[in-house]
Amino acid sequence: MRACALALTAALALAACTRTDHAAAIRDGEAIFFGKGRCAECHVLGGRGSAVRGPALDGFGARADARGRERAAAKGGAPLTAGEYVVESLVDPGAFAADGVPPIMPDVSRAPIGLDRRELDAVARFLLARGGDPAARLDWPAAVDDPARRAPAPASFAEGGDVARGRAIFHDLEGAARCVGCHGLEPGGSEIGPDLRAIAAIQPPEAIRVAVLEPNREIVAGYHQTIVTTKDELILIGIVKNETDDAFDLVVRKTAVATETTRLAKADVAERAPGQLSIMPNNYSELLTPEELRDLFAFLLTLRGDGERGATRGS
Amino acid sequence: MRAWVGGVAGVAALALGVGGGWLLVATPEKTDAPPTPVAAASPTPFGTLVGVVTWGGHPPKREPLPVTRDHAACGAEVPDRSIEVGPDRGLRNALVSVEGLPAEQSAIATPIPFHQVDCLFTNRVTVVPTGATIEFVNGDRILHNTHVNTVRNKPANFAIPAGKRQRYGPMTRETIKITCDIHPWMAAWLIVRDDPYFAVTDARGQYAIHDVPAGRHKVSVWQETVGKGGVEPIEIEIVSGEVVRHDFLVRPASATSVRSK
Repeated sequence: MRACALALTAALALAACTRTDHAAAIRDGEAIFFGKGRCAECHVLGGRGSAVRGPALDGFGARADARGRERAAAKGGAPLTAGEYVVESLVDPGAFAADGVPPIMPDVSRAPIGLDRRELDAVARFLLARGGDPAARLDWPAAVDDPARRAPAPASFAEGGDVARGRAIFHDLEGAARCVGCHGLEPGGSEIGPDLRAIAAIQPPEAIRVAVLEPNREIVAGYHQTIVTTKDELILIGIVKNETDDAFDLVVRKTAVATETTRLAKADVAERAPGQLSIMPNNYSELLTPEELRDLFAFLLTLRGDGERGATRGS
Repeated sequence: MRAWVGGVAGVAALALGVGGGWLLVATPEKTDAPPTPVAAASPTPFGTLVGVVTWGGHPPKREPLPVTRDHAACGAEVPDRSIEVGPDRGLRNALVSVEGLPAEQSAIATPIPFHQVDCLFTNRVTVVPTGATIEFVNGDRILHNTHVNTVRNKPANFAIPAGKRQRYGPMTRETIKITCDIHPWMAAWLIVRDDPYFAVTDARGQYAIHDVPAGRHKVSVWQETVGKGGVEPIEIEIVSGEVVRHDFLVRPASATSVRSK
């Protein structure tokens, strides 16, 4: 900015300077998006990342104004500008989740992701540059400057837990929990449940506790089943994809590795009910002792996407 | 009431070979409930519907489903039991129903077991009366999660450790697919009915529905891969004191709408 201030003598120079500045922010934002921000754990952009848990973000900037209007229509209030929308999406993502995606995204200005104002600004401009205006005005709430936000959140429920015992509970295929049966931590492991290899790097401890003990509170996108009953009383259970005005695909799991997709005409469907439950059992608080849960949480909080593979080798 | 005993016993006998056990739990015949007034009339106003349900077209090629985990407990592969065709194309586990008859509550106090053995649900189709409680039993030495994919009953997804049991109910009328998310090849149907006028076909496709009130009734056939769409709706005249025979041919689902990957 200092170099820019010296050049504030001509409008042309100002424009060039602003562009240059934002180009740097956009570059930083991309690095943060795929790095410290961990955004690609749940979002795909430019073919990189995961499209399972969160929406794809290609074209985010082009859609931001429309999303701001959608938000107003759904939640009331004045339409958000593109800048207001991206700010809210990053630091208050639960306020409005587009496309019916479950509101599982954490506030990225808080631990464990903990982006500061400069980093937030960079990611926001990188996103706005996907088809929109990266120079949009961004008003971050003053609270993002509070360093306490970026301090690791307390996790009393895991305090004193034994990580090694928790790891054993997670991996024990004969045990009551056998988490690894659905949440593989190794390449080629089970993908029945969401990838947890970096879960402690993206979600605060309390969200992890709730996800284990109350898996139905928020079902991660891509894992939400629908029970479809046709007019012939054929019952199909699967994940709805490729919906149009008069039809949709239902992807039904056939085996652990194969799915069967049926295209259903809406005119043939008598009832379409959201499966009310996660495929994850909801009685772990009964199956595990408080000590076992403490150990398991202690282990889960070590899953930061950086070494679990080595840690579990030979287990 | 007798039809209920026969119906439930038939299902149990098919898979468990212990049909007699159901007679113990289906006690309403011995209660003080007043007999149906018409039951004493002569000639009896009830008839019996019997027949065979066969699979239309070529016997389906259902490849065994690969077992992808827990091989020690589950084996290398399991049969795909979604369509079971026996001798002479007899279709097993089709539900034949006389429709439009009034509900008959049949209190069954004892929980009805629903077994999981060798990583399969022992019964593919289990029919129970409304108000019944189910007891899911894990007979394996590994964990199963028993997922009740319900719309009208209480949502449930139980992790059931090896050798343990889990009660569920009382239940209301619905056709429910039971699955195990850990072992995605596991599937079974729990059908909750408030009337006794149905039968589940045996391994030869045979069925018998007893004590059906005389008269003209709509009869349907449900099979899990086609719903009721495999058989055109039909009306059948049930004659007092007689056995009426009707066979059904179930058309396979249109294959054009299904693609695998």
